[in-house]
Amino acid sequence: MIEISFTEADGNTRTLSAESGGTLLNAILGAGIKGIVAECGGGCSCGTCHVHVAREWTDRLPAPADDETDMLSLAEGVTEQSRLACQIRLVPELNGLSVALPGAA
Amino acid sequence: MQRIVIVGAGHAGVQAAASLRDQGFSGAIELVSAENALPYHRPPLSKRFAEGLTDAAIALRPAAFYSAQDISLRRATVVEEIDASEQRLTLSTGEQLAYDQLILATGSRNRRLEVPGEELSGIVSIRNLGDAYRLATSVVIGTRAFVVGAGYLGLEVAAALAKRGVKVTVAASRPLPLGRSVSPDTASVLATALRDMGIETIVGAGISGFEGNGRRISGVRFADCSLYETDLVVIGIGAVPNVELAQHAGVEVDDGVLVDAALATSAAGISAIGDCVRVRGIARLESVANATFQARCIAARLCGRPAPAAETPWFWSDIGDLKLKMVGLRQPDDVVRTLTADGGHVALCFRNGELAAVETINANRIHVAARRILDAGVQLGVDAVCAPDFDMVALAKSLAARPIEASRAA
Repeated sequence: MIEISFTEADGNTRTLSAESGGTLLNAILGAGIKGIVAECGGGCSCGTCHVHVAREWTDRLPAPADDETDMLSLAEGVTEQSRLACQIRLVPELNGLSVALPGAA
Repeated sequence: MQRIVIVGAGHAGVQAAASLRDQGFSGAIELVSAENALPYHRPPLSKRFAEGLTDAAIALRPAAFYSAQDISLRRATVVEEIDASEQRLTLSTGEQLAYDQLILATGSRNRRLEVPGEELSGIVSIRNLGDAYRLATSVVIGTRAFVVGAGYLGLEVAAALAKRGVKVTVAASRPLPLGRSVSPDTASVLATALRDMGIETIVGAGISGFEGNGRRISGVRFADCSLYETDLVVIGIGAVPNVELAQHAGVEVDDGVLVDAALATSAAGISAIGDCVRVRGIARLESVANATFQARCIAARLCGRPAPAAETPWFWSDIGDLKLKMVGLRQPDDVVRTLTADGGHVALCFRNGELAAVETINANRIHVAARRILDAGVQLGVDAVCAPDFDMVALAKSLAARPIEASRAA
């Protein structure tokens, strides 16, 4: 199991646990995080699973593909830490990953 | 309010349940699903059926979500009847289920091609997970497939089959693929791409029946009596809304369960969302984006909260490696200008001289920019958009993004 520290829009931080192999989006949806709609089901088509990855983790993730960069190009609150949760595959090395919803304190 | 019952656990129904909790509803939520599977995403069924979809991979939410959110999910349960005056449902389990508010999210079903032989095995129509499994297992080396219908579903399936090395023929009713849905300019680009995928298209051939070898499909018989041999037939000729339950309860129905702008039906305490509804005065929309948006709207209303900001309708389709995206509802009379941007195809549709809809193929940034521009209500004339130095992405960036709190309100 992989543990992820997740900061919600209201600034509260929760720990999510998820099986290795799924995506960060699946872990978020399973936890019932408010505000993630994820209309396209992980197809990198809707841009509604935008998260900010903590700085210490950004370089440890595979770089985003062009599709993901395009979807993020105009997302609300986009920063260098922005990623789409559907494109982040949870591998054991990501145990302890820390992410936040954009707009979280 | 004590209990909200949601009939149907597709995108609309599940999102409504999730959004009700997001909005602070603390009463009982009963989500009734006719299917036995954990509620799942439908788009992958026609796009990625051949990749060995697993229940977990396409679940809308993991099983733990429902218990954690205290949402009662009744699977394999059909709602037999609504008693609108008593605010009570009769379930296939024999149980009576009372509601304070009822949300109908019954979706749609595929239109049948009612010709002799339609019951043969090897004729598939994709709507649910079982259909996708059936199709996936029908594809073996050397299969020939015949796809009836050149709409989104037909083309998605055709492209996915062609990618697996299947020889695919598509029967279209119009000269251009997706001819009813997209501009002729975009349809022409698609037509070329389909040819490049090795997909053959037959236009306007009336199908009079299917022939079988035993109980299995072996060929398609045309009105001119010619026979086309095939091992597999996929039917994608549109969908009809599931309105019967509402209709029997006396709810007003007209090409969908009729709702007002607030998604209320003609019956007190009954709302409807998703593919099964038609909002008065506009055409019925079948899309995941519409279903989830309406779900967020109904949850906000039932919780006494402001509705989320209006969204311009948008759609997407993955046809092989083509990412087709549309924002805005194109009308047949729109003036279309095309351009190449982001390495892809862009069709700009103008109505009364102003930008009304944008279709893109493999040009995601333009799609995202167009969504923001249309959502913001910016009016753009033909001359401005077609000026050589016009930059849609830069314009979109200059628009204030919707506040995060508002866009996440649901």
